[in-house]
Amino acid sequence: MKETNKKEQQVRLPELTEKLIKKDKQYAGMSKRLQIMYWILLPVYFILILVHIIDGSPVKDILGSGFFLLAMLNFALLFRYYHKTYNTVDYSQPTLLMLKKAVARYQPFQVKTLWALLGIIFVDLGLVFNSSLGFDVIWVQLVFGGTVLVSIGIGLLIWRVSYKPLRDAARAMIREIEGE
Amino acid sequence: MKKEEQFNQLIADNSDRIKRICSYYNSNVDDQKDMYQEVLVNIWKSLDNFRGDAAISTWIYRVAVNTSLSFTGKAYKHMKLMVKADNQYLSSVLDDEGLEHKLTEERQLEHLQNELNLLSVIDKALISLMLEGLSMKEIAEVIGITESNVKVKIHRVKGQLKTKLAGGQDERNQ
Repeated sequence: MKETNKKEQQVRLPELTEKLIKKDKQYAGMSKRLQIMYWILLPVYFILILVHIIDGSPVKDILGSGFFLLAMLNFALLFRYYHKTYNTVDYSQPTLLMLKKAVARYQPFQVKTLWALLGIIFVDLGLVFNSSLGFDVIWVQLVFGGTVLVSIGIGLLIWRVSYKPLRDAARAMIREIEGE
Repeated sequence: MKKEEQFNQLIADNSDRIKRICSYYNSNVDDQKDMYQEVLVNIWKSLDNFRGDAAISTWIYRVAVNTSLSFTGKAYKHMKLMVKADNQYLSSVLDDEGLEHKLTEERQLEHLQNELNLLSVIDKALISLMLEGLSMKEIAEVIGITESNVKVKIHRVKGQLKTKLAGGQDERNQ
């Protein structure tokens, strides 16, 4: 019986190792490609703004493009941070510490959320200032604001279904460990 | 040493230890296998953070216990702790040297099994580490609390189990 159990519990280590190495490479490659894309796009966009300035485009348009650039930079840095944080959960930490980090990670609103909000504000300002897009300011606010609110609502719904139970369970375990 | 070599060496040296931890939390062989694989994946992910501050066995137990909490997180309430009568450290659960002999009676082992499964997830984790023969200090290092806190918790769990098992015994004798 023991032998059978051992046999059935066997995991093909070479295959698993190969898969893990492949995944590491994929992840490293993806992060690298994204970073390259951002760090190429950002200067290109910056050069375009300079060209607009030299061409004598209206100040409002230049400002609008400037805000888009800031939004891009903001999201690039934020995305990079999230990507790094969520892919490097360290399971070798003491259990209590790991649980505390999990609670922080699964909070719906964090200090980092303010960075996302800043990015959204930059996009909004970009849309308002960039007259070359031909958008009406009130219409932009209604559509953009509505889209943002709906997105936040969907995000909160996903959080409630998928992440809140994990956060609550981790909290309960922390309470239990720290009790007595 | 390359990460791949380090990983393979680590698994070769500790696979029995990891499998035992997995078997504590799952009665089903397929679930044990899934969890074993999950532990290996998390060892790989955490290997870059191993600085040698803790003993490798403590490090392995941390990954295994933390994985078990995350793995069974899908069904915390249904998480069970499976014990075997031939476990070397089983008597330490109740501080009773004669327990191993007594527990050969299937009914008593089943009774202990039921009581263990009524424990909370954290208490189950503590007991599983005890069953592995870890000292209070080592358990404290795995969980991240003080040694005295571990002692208090384990003392409480043992007390609860003793009372319940003694009560069960009395009921049967009546």
